[in-house]
Amino acid sequence: MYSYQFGIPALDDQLGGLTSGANVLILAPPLSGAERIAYNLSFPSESEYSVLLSTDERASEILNFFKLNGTERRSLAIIDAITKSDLPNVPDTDRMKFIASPVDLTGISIKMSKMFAGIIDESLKNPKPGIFPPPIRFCVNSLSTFLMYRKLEVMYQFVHVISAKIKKNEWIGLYTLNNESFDARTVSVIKQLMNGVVEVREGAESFELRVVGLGGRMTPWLPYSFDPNGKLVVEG
Amino acid sequence: MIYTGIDALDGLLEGGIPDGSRVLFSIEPEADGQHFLISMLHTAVVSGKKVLVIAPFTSKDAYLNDVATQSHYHLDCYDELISFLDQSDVEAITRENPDQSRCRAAWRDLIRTIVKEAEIDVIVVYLDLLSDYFEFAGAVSLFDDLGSEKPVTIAFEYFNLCGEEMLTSILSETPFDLVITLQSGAGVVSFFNYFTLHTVSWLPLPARSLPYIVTEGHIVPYIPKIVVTGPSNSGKTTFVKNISESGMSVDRLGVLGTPTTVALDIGHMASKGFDINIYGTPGQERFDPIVPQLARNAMGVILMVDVSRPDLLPRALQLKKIVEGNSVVPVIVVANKADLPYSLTKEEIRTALHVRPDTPVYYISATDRRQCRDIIDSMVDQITRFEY
Repeated sequence: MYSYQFGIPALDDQLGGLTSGANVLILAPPLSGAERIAYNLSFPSESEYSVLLSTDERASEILNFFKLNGTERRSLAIIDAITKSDLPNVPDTDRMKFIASPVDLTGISIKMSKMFAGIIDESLKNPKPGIFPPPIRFCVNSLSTFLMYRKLEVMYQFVHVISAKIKKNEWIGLYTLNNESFDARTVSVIKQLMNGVVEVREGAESFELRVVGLGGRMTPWLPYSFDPNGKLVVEG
Repeated sequence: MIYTGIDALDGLLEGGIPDGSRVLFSIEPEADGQHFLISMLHTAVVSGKKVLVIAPFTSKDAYLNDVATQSHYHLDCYDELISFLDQSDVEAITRENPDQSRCRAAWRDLIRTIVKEAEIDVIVVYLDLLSDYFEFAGAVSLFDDLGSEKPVTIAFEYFNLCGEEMLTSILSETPFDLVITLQSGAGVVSFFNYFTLHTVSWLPLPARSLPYIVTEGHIVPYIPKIVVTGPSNSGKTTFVKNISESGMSVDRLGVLGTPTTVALDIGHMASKGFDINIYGTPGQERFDPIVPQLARNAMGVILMVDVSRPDLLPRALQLKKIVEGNSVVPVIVVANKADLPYSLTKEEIRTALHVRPDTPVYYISATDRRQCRDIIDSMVDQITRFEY
């Protein structure tokens, strides 16, 4: 079975990577850099792909962030649900697709499916075939925005469909959720669909994170920061 | 009457959708099904009907742009025929009416006003946000009693995340005249889409699922496999070659100096708006082991017999059993070489081949292209319209 690495030494040392098929919630307060944590965990290793569904940051910004951190253009695919509201004529490409708003789950579902199909198709044509289906890190930033637009019940079903697909194909899913904007019920409903949670809190001197649930373990609270390129540095 | 703009579907619906109908397109995750509603919207405006589009998930510009890039329909030419309620209108209504019942009333008034003032014939509704606000039944009932003098056809698109059972329970509360579900056959990737005519109130059609391809934004329903089988030298290859726009056969000269198929015949054609692939099996017994592979997942079987060779009917029966396997598929019996002298009656053929009384038996000559095409038309009807 393929094993994904966090790509962050402190976490890989403690947990030995992420099991394939895992869906992980990143539960963080505002201003803690939740999206940066999610992106860092989504950086594709060699022969992996990253697919991002973004409601908060434009595709161009995400692309820059990944490029700065050494991700190849072909390994990254983005579904952007904000740019189109300002630029209705923005065209779709193989690796970037645009949705008018986070309300449009139908459109998102179709474009995601096409994106995955495109990546799988490409991996089959690759002269050096790797694992099938190709390992994909799928990241949703953020569930909070979706929940502002759509009902919790609908989002539960939507994430359920996605997380089942991730699990079936042995990919990994990362989802950010702001824990201060929603009540405990909302958080626990979403948690039901997850195998693990990266919890973030404000520590004495800096923000701290811990990983709960993956393989039944829990790391201690670990302070973290970002380097100038935005790469996640976890102490411990 | 409103056309869906998809020939095969309009054919199945016997012309299109009667005015004043309520239509539901229920899209399941990953199914590429948004073109159905867009195609219907396009045919409506092209035929001069006035349409109200309610699309809460997008802005008018983005919507028209999406339709133009994905479906290649330039709806902006029909600006005077299309009224629009988009994201900004939805936000305005919600902002001005924080209370749900007032919000609902505001929606009702707005829709009724537009329908009346713009003399709307067709309403196209994306249910997403409306069903969040008012639940499914509540959202659909916004369109009850529109107070219009003429019948208004309303087509809804709904993203069904909960599957078939949920749909059935929703429909028991809120009936529609036409319900089409759009699904995807998904393994690791979604590799084909299919639609099912779930409900058609004005026709006795069986619920049947048919695959479709989306090319350049247009929907082409297709039948991936019809198998032609029958004893050796009964005319299968001639048949497949004569119906196809581009046929191909893997054959070699037999001992008698005539070609005999050694692997398969393959043909491709269009009939009644469907794209069809036709596979012919070899007829000789030594190829029997490959026949089940060729026949796998066939949607219809054409069983061909030589009408001048009644002695080969037992072999035809044997092939029929091999091809059908354990699956139930519609069968047509083609009695070929009817231009030669023969004495076999339909009843004799039916009895010898153990076919049901409602299975059609046709006498044709496979050298006549038109007769061959008629057989395929009849096969399409068998696949799409009749119980089997």
